[in-house]
Parts: sequence; C-alpha cells; structure tokens
Amino acid sequence: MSLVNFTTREITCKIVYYGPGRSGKTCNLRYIYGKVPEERRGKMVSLATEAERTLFFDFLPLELGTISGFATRFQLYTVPGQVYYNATRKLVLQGADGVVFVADSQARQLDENIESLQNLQANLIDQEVDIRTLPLVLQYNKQDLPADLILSPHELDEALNFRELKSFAANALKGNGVFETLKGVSELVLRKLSEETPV
Amino acid sequence: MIANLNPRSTFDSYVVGRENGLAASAARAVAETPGAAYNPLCIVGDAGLGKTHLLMAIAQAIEKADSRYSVEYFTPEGLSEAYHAAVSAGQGDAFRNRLVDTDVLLVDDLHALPLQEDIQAELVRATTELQGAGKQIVVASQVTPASLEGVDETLIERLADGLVVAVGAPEYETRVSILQRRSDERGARFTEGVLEAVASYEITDVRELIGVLNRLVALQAVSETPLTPDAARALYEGEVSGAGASAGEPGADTIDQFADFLSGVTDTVKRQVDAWESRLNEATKRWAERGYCTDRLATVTTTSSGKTVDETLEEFERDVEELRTLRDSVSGIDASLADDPAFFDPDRLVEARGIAEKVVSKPPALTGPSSAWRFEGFIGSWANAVAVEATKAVSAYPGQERNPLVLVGSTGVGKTHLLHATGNAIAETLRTGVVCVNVRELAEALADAEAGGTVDDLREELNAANALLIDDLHLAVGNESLQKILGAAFSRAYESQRQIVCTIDEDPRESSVLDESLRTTLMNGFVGTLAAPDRELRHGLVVSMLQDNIGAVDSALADYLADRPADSVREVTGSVVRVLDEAESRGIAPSAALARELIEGSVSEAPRRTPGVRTSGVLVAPSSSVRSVEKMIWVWPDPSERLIEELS
Repeated sequence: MSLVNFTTREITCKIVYYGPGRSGKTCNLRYIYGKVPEERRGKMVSLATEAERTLFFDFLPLELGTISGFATRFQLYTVPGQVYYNATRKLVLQGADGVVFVADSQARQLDENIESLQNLQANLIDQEVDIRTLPLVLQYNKQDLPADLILSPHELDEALNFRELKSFAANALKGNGVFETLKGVSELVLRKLSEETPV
Repeated sequence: MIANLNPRSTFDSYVVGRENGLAASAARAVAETPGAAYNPLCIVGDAGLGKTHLLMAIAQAIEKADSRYSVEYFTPEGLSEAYHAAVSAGQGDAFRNRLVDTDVLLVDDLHALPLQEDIQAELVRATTELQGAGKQIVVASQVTPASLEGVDETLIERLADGLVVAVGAPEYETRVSILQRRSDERGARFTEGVLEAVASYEITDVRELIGVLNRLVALQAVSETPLTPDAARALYEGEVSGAGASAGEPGADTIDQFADFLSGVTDTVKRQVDAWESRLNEATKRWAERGYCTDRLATVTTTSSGKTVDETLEEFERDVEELRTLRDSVSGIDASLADDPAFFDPDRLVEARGIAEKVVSKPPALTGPSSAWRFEGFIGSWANAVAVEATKAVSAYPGQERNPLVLVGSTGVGKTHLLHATGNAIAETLRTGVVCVNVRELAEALADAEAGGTVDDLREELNAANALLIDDLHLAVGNESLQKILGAAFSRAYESQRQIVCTIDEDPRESSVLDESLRTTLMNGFVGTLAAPDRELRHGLVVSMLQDNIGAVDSALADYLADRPADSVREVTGSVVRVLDEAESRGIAPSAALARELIEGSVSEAPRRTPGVRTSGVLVAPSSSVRSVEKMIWVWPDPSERLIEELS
C-alpha cells in the first residue's frame, strides 16, 4: 500500500490495532469515533457477535483534511483477537503502515499478550515484513483496574517491550491514553514518509 | 542551497522585538558584508528563542545575494557525523578542506559540541585560518563563550574576541507579532483577541508558542463556530493542567483530543513535505547551475513515477553522468555536436544516445571549427579592420548579414585564424551544424567518398550544415567535381539564409578560374580584405609573442622587430622565434641588439626548429584538429638551404 500518492496529492495511513481477545482494541476505536467531529469521520464498520466480540474486524476511516497540500486520511482497523481467527488477522494486517499492539494489563492475561505478540511477529514474517522496521507502539490497557490485578507499565515493559518501543498506559473505556497512542504510532508512520515514499 | 537549512528560516520571517533586535541587526550586517562587520559573531540565548533561525537566515541571505559564496552550516551532530564519515573513508583532509575552504562557517548549538578532541582541534584550526583569511564565522550557543564547558580554550578566546549578542525571551508584543505572523503564513484567521489571549501567558519558548498556535488552528478547523479568546485560554490552561495527568486517571477530557492529534499529524506531515521540497530544490538548483534541464525534478511531485524522492534523485544523477560520458565521446569527434541540448536534458537521454551512436559509428567527414582559434587571440589593426568587423557582424547574426562573407588575402595574413574564430562564434549561437573545413580536407573527403560510394552522404552533410566555412577556396581550382559540389552547397545555403564564409587568395569577382556557380554565389556577398601586416599589427604580434614566451616585453626589441616590414604574419612570427631561439642558445635575454645582429649582422644562425607556431601568431596546441600540413609549418624553408643541410 502506498502511503503517499503525489499525483492525487493524498496521504493514506493504514493503522492496525492488534492484540489478544478482549484487550480493548475495539474500545480504542469507539473512543476515537466518539471524539472525532462528524464531518471528519466515516462510518465505523463493526462486525461483532452477540457477545460483542469482534467477528471479523472494525474499520474506522478518518479524514484529517488537507495538510501541506495533501488530503490526509487515516484508516484504523482492529483484528479479531481470538486465536481461531488467524486467517482474518493476516488479511487485515496486509499493507499495514503501522501497528498498535493493545495489551491487557491484567496479570493473568500476560501469557495471552505474549502469545499474541508472537503471533503478530509470525504473521508479519509470513508477509515478509520485518517487525523491527514496522512502526509499532504498545498500549497497556486497563490500567484503571485495581493495582493488585494488573501489572504496572514498567512490569509490562519488562515482559513485552523487547525493542524499547514507545509504550502508553491507557484506560480505553474512559479514553485515557487512547489519543496519545494514536498520536505516537502516527508520528512513527509519518516519519517513514521520506524514506519510503514513492513519487 | 545547503541541504539542511529550513527554507522558511529567513530574515523576512524572523519577528524582531526589543529582546532580539540587536542580534537580528548584527546578523543582517554579517549577511550583507560577510567577514567585514562582526567576526566572529556569537549569538547567545536559551533554547527556542530563534538562534537557529538567525543562523539559517544569514546562510540563505548570503547565498541568495551571491551564489558564489560557499556557506557551511553545522549542528554539533552534523559536524561529528561529517568528521567521522570523512575519517572512516580515509579522507580526513577532505573534511579539513571543507571547513577551511568555506567563505562562511556557521556552527549551531556550540554548547553541545562533542567533546572529542579531534573535532575540536579541526574546528580551532578552521576558525584560525578562516579568521585570518577574513572569512565569516557565526556560532550560536545557549551560554556565553566564557561559560562554555569542555570546549577548547583557544576557540573560546577567539569567540570572545568577536561580537557576542544575546537573544532574550519574547515579550508580550513580540509574542503577539509571532503568533500573527505564523497565523498569516498558515492562512489561519482568528477573531479579535484570540492571539492576544494566548500571548498574555508568559510563554518564553517560541517553539512552545507555535505549538499552542498549532492547536488553535487545529481546534478552529474542527469547530463549527469561530474560537473565542476564552476558548483559547481554556485550551492553553487545559493543556497546562492536563500535562501531569496520569493515564490511569479517568476523564482527562479538558482539551480537544482530536484537535491535539490533528495538530501533531499536521506538524509531522509538514516537516516531511518540507524535507522533500528542500532536497528537490537543492538538487534542482545544483544541476540547473551546471546547465542541465531540471524539468524532471520540477515535476517530480506532480507525476507518478513509483519511485521515492531519493531514488528519483539517484536516477537523475545517473542519467546526467551518462549524458556527460556520451557528450565526451561525441565532442572528441565533432565538437559542434557537444553543445546539442539533448546532452543537457536527462529526459532526452534516448535522443542523446542516438546522436552519440550515430556520430561514433559513422563520424562525419567534415569537422567543425578548431577551438584553438578565437577572436580573443586575433590581433587586429587597420590592415584587417574591415574583415574583422564583417566577421563579428556575421557571428552575431549568422545568415542575415554579409552572406556570403569572403575573406581575401595572401598567404599568412591570418585568414584561417579569422575563419575559425568566426566559426566558433557562430557555433555559440547556432550550437550545432557548423562546418569549418579546409579545401584540402574536403578534397580528401571527396576522394574517400568517391572510393567508398558515399558521395551523396558527403553532399548531404554539406547541405545539412547550418553554417559553411571553407578555408583556402582557391585550392579547389582544378578539382571540377569538388567545385560543383561546393557550388551546389553554397547555392542552397545562400537560398535558405544559412551563413557561408570562405577564405581565398584573390577577389572572386576578379577570378577567372573559379567555377561559375561558385563565383556567382560569392559575388552576391561581402568581400573583406586582409592586407599585409602594418606596423600596428606587427607590434601587437611581437608584444603578444614575447609576453607569451618569456613573460616580459623589451620595448626596444618590440619596436625593432615591429619596424621591419613584413608581407605576412608568418614572417613576423618567424623573426621573433629566431631571436628567441638564439637568445636561448646563448643563454642571454633577447634584445634589440641581438635581433639586429641576427637579422642584419654576421652571426651564424642556430639550426631552425619547427615549433607548433601558427602563422597568425598564436601558439597551436598539439591537440588542435587542424589537419593541413602546410598550416602547421611556421615558415617554408628555402629548398636550397635544406639541400645544403642534407648534403652536409
């Protein structure tokens, strides 16, 4: 996927929210949807089961307007976290310009977080993408839960953040850290423009 | 333009207030007279107060005023990178020369200078040499030179000797002006009082002030109603109070999160687009200055090539390199074709390849003018004034005035020099297709063509020439087929207003041996006569030769040689060469007495040499493309003399 199209003067960034089931990926998108003025957002597409679990994926297009002569738009996707939807995850991950890995801060979910992160790496390798070169940030969600149930950002960094990536503590339900995370991944994605942009 | 300069950091975009007025004024003075006003200039101030802006403004103002100035701008990181890159490539000297050869050296954030002694030593050496040579040095630092830590004492002392000016935090009026200027640049309009409301806060860092403005712009973009001063205050105070909120605390919703996000994206995209434009502009300027067409770079952002900016620039440079190679291969065969515009336009590379292939595989039988003969080296006088004036008119307007131009004169009066000089001048106007050839060469080419069955090609080459310059036309007498081909070519050139210039030893109107068609065409033109050299010409020639050969002119010797009558330029140059030879063999300076003794007296002559001296008085380079053997001999020896030499 081409980030920048000089002919049509467009910048399009595809950002995928990845992570284990119930970590709060859709919650991130819903919060963003609620904060974006109506004229700046498209329809949020969400295919969920009766139990509100993402069945296929969520999609939220954002129109950021014209910046330095470029019509700039972001496309936010989530993947289904459940293990058995790996084919869908691969499909959604294709052509991603950046990834937000949403980790569940609950201590008992640590193994799921690690497994999902490994799954992300494996799926990227399948697509011949080096995880070390892909813009990637970590979000430690559910930091609002009682302290005895969760791991601190520092502990999660120790367990998951093997490359000293940017990480953000968050409470996606209330919105804390949601836009900070989006801003963090956006900066990484946009900084790669000059390195990889075809003209 | 220096690649790492922000094109927006100019004096025009720098907001001047009381707190930075002196620094701005000093910077302008330095930019107007580099090396003369304040040297070195040291700008001191906290982060975010515009020191870098002033340094870049100086660099860009100097480059804009006179692109011949070489300007180097370094950050400490840039300096370190450049140093290590040069050292690791085994080119430490190149780094040193880069610093020393510049006219203006600007070093930003000197307080953050790497402590590595090697780099500091290079900087000390460079500043010493630059200051000694009157070259400008400007530095910026967060602390005064005296307070710099870990920086070489010599460097500190040198900086302290110059002008140290401070930039202070912007006051209210300056903050309003900065906000207003940046709003205008971004095309943003706010209701009255909004910018003043923001400026009323003691924001001392200009970058922070711009950051608040960016958020205002983003907020206004997503708001249905114009922002009010109260909303602007709420935005700023919300940011300040929200800055310490931890992620775990609910409800950090005092600022518009989307506007904040949008502002961040806007800044990042803008920086990236600026970086592309800066790289493309720099490359465009560099190649345009070297004469290459840069349309491809100018349209790079409006066409879809599927390549990155870097790939596009690399491909452009590869194409230019190939054009250079092709041009070199062509110029060795036909110099007039080397100026073809296709060799200067990477978008016409295929065409340039075609031209080169054609020329290399089938070199033209006819050559262009020799670059050894130009108007600059031709000595004029009353003896050739009319002819010279006519050739200059023809050079300025080929084909339009004095066409055909016939240069008439006896052997050795400078006709060939003048013909080639005219050819070179015409080539500067027409660029391609200027044929300048001696009749002997033409006769040889015709003989080859007849033998190879390619007479039509030769005829076509003559007919295709944009200008035809033929030397020693009288030598065509007796060669009927050559006269006919030339007659036809002259006739076609004349009808299509293409310039004809030829040299001949007698006025064609009085010639009874020239082919009728040739004579008819020539009679329509202008005849410029070159007479035997008068004293003025002889004197000029002698002075020029003495100057060229021994770097000095003995006026008595020059007068003596100039006073001697001569029928041709060859005779004059021959006399000068004889005197110089004799002086050299005796190990004495050439003088009038020696010349008199040699020319009139009884001294035996040294064996003659046959240097590459052209008869018109200029020294001909061995690589000159003149083929005529006759023209390469400075004086014809007396056959009896040669016979005696051989017998002995």
